[in-house]
Amino acid sequence: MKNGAATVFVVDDDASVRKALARLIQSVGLQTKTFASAQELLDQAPPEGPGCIVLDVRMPGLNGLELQAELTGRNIQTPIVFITGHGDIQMSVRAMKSGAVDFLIKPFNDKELLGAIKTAIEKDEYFKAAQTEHSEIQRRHQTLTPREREVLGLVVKGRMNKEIAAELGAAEKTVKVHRARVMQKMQVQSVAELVRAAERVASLGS
Amino acid sequence: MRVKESAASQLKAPADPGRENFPSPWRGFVILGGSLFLAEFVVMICLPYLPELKPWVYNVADAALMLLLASPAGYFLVLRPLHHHIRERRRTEEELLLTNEQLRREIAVRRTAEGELVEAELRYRTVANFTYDWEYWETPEHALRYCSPSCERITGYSAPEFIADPKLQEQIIHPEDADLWRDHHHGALAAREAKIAEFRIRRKDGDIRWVEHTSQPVLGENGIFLGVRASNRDVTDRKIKELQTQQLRRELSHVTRVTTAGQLAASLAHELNQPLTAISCNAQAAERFLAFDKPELNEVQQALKEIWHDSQRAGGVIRQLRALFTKTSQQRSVVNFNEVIEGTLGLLRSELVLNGVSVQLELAPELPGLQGDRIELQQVVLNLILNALEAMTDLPPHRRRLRLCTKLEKSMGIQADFQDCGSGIPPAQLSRLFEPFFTTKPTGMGMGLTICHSIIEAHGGRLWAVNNRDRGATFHLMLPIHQKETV
Repeated sequence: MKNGAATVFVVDDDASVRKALARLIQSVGLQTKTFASAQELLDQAPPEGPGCIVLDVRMPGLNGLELQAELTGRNIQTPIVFITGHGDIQMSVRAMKSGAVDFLIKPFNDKELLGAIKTAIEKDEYFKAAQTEHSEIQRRHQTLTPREREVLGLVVKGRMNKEIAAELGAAEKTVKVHRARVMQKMQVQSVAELVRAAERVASLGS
Repeated sequence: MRVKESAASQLKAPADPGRENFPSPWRGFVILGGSLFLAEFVVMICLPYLPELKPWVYNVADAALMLLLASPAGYFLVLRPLHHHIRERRRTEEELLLTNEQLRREIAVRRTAEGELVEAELRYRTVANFTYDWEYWETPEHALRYCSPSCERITGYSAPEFIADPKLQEQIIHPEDADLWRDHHHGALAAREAKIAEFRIRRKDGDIRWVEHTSQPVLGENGIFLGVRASNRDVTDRKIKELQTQQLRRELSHVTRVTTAGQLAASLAHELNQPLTAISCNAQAAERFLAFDKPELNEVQQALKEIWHDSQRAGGVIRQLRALFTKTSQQRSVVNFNEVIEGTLGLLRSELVLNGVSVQLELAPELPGLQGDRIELQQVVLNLILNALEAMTDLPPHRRRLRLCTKLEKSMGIQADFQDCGSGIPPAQLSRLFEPFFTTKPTGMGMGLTICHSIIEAHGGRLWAVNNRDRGATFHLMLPIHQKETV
């Protein structure tokens, strides 16, 4: 498996299941951290690198679904693979709707679990990469002057330089300069790329 | 001196000398020295009779008073004053009368005593011979000193047969109960106190009867051991009814156990799933560690160790589960009640977690074992815990607390408390809790607590419920450690 640096967080109140899961996950070269309860995991600082959570649904104290809600509330997006001793459809639907990667019924075979973990880690890696990209674009966006942002907004709307100049009451030449600076600051080569970057900034709510 | 009555007419011619011819004395009053005396007179013809007088004379003093009156014709008149004699004789007579009276009284007393003895003997014999139960008295040398005729009614063998063969009694005991009999017999002898045992005997005609046997040592004065008195009652009818009741109870408790197991199916499946999941993960991990270029043997070894451990755990769940489904055997064994509680909690772990119930366990250390049916006792514990869980469903999960505690009550036995913090039992229902078909649950059959109650009673114990002072109810259970010996 390629995600070598990833860590899998195993949360199960049953010590033998917890240890066995950890061993199985380690056997494919992944790192593991084990927790006997949801609270133990919450007490831990959110993971830095890529990873996922393997979570037992039924536990004393906070159960798996409650932990999922709590993590979402804390904006911790680490993907979750649920495991349960019960084929409870309602429960699995709820978990999946809340963004779980998979919902496995015990006893599962190793390929099912390791496959789900792989998917989860890839999802996390992708998500984390996307998050990094987003923050980079955000950072670049923040370097724009108010005038440049206005130009960016109109370029994204598909306006021609002439139209933008008319709208802003500026010379077309000036608009051209602004546009070139925006492209430079946002580190894009084409208008299409600029549009995509601008969309991401918008989706981040700025 | 003057003789008042004429003595002449009394004079007789002497016959041959000799005792038989000793003349009859005659009596008369004499005046002597101015006093009137009663005296006896004997007239004798000749001296040869004189020695014959000797026994007639009382003593020397009397003799001194005697006057020998000689007549010219050779007659003697011997006079013996009687005043002394009369006194003496009166006294003697009085004494005789007294003695006689005393004797008569003694005879009367003795006659009464004898009569009473005969009466008592008759009474005791009647009591003994007409006892309905089979009674006997065995000497310290194991000979039968007494055996009531009623033995024949119960065993088919007569009393003389038992007395003639001291081993007969042991021979007729059912082979399966022979050990029990021996234990009881030795126990009763050693303990020197009354003991009760129930066992089967084979009658002369081959029929099997149940006998309730009570034996107690016979202690004489100063505590001397005089053997064993035993009473044997034919309790076959009662025993058959009892066994039928037990059988019914067993069947009913089996049905409810199976029902409970059904309700718990999901939890039990989960309990089984956990070790299976662990086993499967460990096995697959071990396979991968072995496939490494440099196999991780340490990990493989650790995985195998845990696989073994978890297979044991799964086996334990299966055993508990099987116990719920099997009909109980009639064999009782020594049961540790703490283990029963812990085993049941193991079975319910998942159910407790699902319900968010926290369990406070306060088990007495070193609880003595008790004679009982492990499966049935586990059923009681299971039912009481499930009842407690149900009583707390209205509470938010973090407030659902169940307290289980066991303690040793010196004289009574083992007490176990099942304390919930639900809403308690309405006072009007407290007394009806153990009635059959009494239920407050919409889906309840109303048999759970009834069966618990009957199981505990069958163990010689007690089960009752009280409301807690603050919240919820507590079910108390008391089980004796020592019980009547039965099969």
